[in-house]
Amino acid sequence: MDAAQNSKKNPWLIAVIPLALIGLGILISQFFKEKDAPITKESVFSLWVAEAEIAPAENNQARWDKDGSAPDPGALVTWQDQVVLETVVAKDSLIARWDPVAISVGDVVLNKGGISTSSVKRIARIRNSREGNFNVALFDEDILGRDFIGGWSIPTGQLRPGLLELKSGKSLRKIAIAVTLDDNLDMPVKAYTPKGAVYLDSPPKVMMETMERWAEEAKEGIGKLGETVGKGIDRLGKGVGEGIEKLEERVGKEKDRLKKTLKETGEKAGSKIRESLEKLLPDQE
Amino acid sequence: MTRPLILSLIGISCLLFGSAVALPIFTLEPKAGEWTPLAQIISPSDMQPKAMRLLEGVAILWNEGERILALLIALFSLILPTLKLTMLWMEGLLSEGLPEKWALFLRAVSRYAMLEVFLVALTVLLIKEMPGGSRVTLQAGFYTFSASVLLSLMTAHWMERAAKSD
Repeated sequence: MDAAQNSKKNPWLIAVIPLALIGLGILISQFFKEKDAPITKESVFSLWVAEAEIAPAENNQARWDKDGSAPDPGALVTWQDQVVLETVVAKDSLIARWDPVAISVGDVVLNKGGISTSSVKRIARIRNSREGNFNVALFDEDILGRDFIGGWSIPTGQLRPGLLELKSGKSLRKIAIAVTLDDNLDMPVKAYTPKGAVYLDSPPKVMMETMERWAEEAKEGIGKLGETVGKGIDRLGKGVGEGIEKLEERVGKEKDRLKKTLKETGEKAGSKIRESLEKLLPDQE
Repeated sequence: MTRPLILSLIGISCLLFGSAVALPIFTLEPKAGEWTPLAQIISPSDMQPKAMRLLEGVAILWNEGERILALLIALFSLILPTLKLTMLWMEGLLSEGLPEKWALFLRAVSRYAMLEVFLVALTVLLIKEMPGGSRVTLQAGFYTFSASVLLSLMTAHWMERAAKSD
């Protein structure tokens, strides 16, 4: 190539070639990138309720809690008429958040101090299928059980990895469900809204059964509490009675001792006076 | 050396550099010593091995507000090597060579060509010494980056020798 030929070449055009080769290198490297497992009919999704936002008052404008505090929401996920996830209760929250992992004292006690990753995961596993729905609902915990806040029925065919978000103008304003593949507990970033999701104004049958169980547990709890309080009062009464008896006994003893002391003091004083008088008036003897 | 061979070597260097930008440079496997099983239970996502890539790393630093560091890494790891390869290509293709000021720039850039490799090596060394048994494993990106840098250095050297002998 001579100088005349070179002068015809556009230097910017020449510069594009190495840039294109660098781009080609980036493209080639994509073939070696670990690809996510493809979603098939056999894919199992792991999901957990990541966040929920609740309206400041119930649909009838009543307060959630009698003391004016925010609700204590807990979530329930059901699939194929079974409860597949029950979250812990988030105290006094209008915006509640949950982690895919939670350790309770019960876990440690039940497993005799030993816990594993499987026993602390708070996730629901749902198989990918084109038919059927899964339900997610929120409940407000109070002393008599749990009240239904709101929920959604979502087609399982709409599940894909990401942050499934649903919004409504009702009691359950917003819910975000983290969906991952194969027990991956990394919080997804990409949000999406599924099609065909229906807002639930009342809990489905399987959730009603769970609500009944909660009410029973609350009743038992109240019964046990009453029993404990009664026993406590009895013990207190018995203790007070015993205390009074002991006090009376002690007062009596003290009284006797005082009487005795007074008597002794009187006798001693009398004899001393007598001795003194005898010394003063010795002629009278 | 013949021009087609030189251009081929620069082309390979470009391809290797492109791969290095997108492939993971190293993988970090976090450990917390005796508490590793507990940490895996409490925060499993934080204990997952993490692959570090140049492009992703720069983007993460930028988004986290470490703009100066992101710019420095982008300059020395992405912009300067790209410019250097482009200049080499132009020098190889143009028979009269690059204009003097461009040639000076190429020589200046070449001095920093190994800087990122040194930085990666230093990072690996530091993390190897970290307590808790955290492990760093070098990945394909590191090797393709090193190969690209070495190949471009050798090509530049051959081109310089060829120019002197002419």
